[in-house]
Amino acid sequence: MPFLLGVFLLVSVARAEGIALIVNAENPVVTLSRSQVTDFFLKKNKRWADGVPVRFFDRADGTDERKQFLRDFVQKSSRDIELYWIGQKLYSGHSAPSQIASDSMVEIMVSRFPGALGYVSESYELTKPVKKIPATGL
Amino acid sequence: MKPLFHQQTSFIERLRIILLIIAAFFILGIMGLYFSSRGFLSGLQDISHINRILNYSGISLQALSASEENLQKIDLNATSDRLATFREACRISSQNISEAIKIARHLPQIRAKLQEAEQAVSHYHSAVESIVGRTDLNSESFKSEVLVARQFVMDAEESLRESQILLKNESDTIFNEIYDNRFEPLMVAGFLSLAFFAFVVIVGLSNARKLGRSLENLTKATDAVSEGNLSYKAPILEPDEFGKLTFEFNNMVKSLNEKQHKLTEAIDKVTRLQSITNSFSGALVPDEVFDVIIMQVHRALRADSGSISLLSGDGKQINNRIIGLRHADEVKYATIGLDFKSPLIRILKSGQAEFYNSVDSMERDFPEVHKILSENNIVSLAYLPLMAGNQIYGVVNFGFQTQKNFSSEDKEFMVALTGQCAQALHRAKLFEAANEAIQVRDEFLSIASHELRTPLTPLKLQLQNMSRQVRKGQIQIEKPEYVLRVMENSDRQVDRLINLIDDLLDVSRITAGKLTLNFESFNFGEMVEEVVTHYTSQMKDAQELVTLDIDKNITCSADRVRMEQVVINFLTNAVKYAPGKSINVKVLRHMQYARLEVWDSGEGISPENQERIFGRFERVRDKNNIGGLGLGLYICRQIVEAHRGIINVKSEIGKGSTFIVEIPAIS
Repeated sequence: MPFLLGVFLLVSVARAEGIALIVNAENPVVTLSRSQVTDFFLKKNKRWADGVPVRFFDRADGTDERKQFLRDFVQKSSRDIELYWIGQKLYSGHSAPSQIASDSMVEIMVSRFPGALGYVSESYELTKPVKKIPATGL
Repeated sequence: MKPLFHQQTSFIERLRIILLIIAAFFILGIMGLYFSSRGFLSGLQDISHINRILNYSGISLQALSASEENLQKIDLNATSDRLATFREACRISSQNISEAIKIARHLPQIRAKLQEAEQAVSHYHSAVESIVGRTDLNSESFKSEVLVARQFVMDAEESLRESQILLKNESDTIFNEIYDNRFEPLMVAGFLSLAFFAFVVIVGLSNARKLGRSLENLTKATDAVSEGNLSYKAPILEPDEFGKLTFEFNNMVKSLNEKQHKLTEAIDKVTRLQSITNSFSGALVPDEVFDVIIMQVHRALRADSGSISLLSGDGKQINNRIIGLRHADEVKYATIGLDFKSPLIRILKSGQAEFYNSVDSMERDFPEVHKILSENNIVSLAYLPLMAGNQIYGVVNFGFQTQKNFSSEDKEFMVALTGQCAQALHRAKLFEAANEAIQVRDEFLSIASHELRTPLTPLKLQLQNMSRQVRKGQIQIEKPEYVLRVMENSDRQVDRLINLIDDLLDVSRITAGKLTLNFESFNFGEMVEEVVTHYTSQMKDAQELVTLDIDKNITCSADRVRMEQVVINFLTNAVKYAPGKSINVKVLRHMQYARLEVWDSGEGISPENQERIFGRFERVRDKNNIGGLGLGLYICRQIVEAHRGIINVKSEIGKGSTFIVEIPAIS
């Protein structure tokens, strides 16, 4: 029973700490797949389908949202990502996306850039002109 | 035939082309080296550009990184006194980027990246401008503005880094290209050098060999010619200047050879002519001349056959002397008629030489001549007139058993030779005529002295007789008849002498052209009647023999004394040659002429003598031994002809003779 409870808790925590993808309200995108999001994050694809440059806003390392994002979408450890960006700085010139401290700041930044893409806690209430879009392929 | 020497293939032209090709090689080499290393040069230039862009972008990147750090410090310290630093960073970075953009105008990808960076910097600049000076450093709005500014600076840095990576790749590509093609100029240079070397070796050697051969050829030719081989003909090896030189050299030698040949021939001809002239000097009579012509000239011309054709005395046939034909032909054609078809008949008239290079051309017009010549293997033939002055003595012809192309020189030589022959013949004829004249004169002299002496002997006898009788005192006054008779006889002898001497004087006058006529008008018939009457009165029995038949209505303008002399001469001759026979004297008008006919019934005169009797010192020699100088008819003829009249005789043996004179009458 406690085991079952534990599992439930875990699931509920996961559920409680779920993240949602947000984009600028002007962005016509309806849904994004996991691999699309990963490519945007790793700057393998830097433009939306309509040509607008992608601007990914990451969360600060160590936060639950980031852990969850890395686990669910990128499926790589934080250290791997760090090494990846060191390599990218030399080979493609790309630098890691800005790491934002809070959900609200992510929301602000996403609302400021039309091609912006970020993620916030699923529970976070949106106040700015941004929209959540569902992710597929998880 | 003159060969064509093309200027294009001439030696000098070839040298010029070779020099042009060498120049072309030189230019080609320089161009090849330039083009093969031009890639290197532009590559190096590009690398240097890339380095400068890298340099500029590096500086801007540094400035931006510093600025980014400052931005983080603002974030931390929230100070607002660093605006100048941001502005300076923006200025430096944008300045460097725009410099880099200028250099990168040929590199579109890099340029786009740099422009992105430039745009990001300007965004960054305006973002920073809006942050600095704010005081709500802990507000979310401020923090978000800083984040935005950071986004822009990061964008700029990212673009710059991307451009740097592109530049490095470009630089590597260029370098690799240069490295891969590093042997290209060497290969071009090597290939051109090899081609040039091959060209020089092939063209140079072949030309040198040709030149050498041409020179050797000419040297050989000059050696041959200097050794006296004038028939040497150097081969023409190349149609160039040397070929032309060789050709001209050959021509020169040829003309030298021809000239020498001509000289030899001329000397030979002169020698032959000289020998013939010498031979002629020994030939005095026509027969000997003919011998010389047919033997010597025939030999001198190196003819195989020869002939001399002469018109016979009566002009009715042609006598040929032939040599070199078959004996039967020589005999058969020794005499031919004037109707014989041969070119010589017409040459006898025209005096124009005719040459037949081939006797075949005679076949149509002169078939028989052609046949004879063909049977005797005569191929070429020359007919030449023997002509001295305007007189054609005959025709000589020379046949050759070899084909001859009579050149104008050959013809001239033959004509000259036959001219010599004709001159010799002419001289021989003159010599013969002179001999005859001398003979006639000698005969005349003996007759004349005899005639002159004849009256002198009785004259002397009578004179001696008289003087003897006077000395003896036999001549008495009582016998005057005797003295008278002696005186009359002497007078007759003296008259005879006077007549003879008058005749001689007349002849010498005529010969000297000093016969002068005193023209007067008189009745021709009356004059004749007077003369006949006077003449017959002196001759006994003459009146009965002479009958007259005279038209007295004819008037003449003439020398009366001379005409009387003619009549007397006719009468004397008639009496002399027809003694005791009847004589008829007739005067009549015949057209515009007064005509005198004196007929005698003597023995008559043979036709050959009829022509002769009017000549000088000619008499009809006969058994009757009639005296006289034979000058009478000659003088008559001269007198009549001086009156523009004619004198003639008609006679037949046994039927008497009629002497006729016609002189112009006044109508």
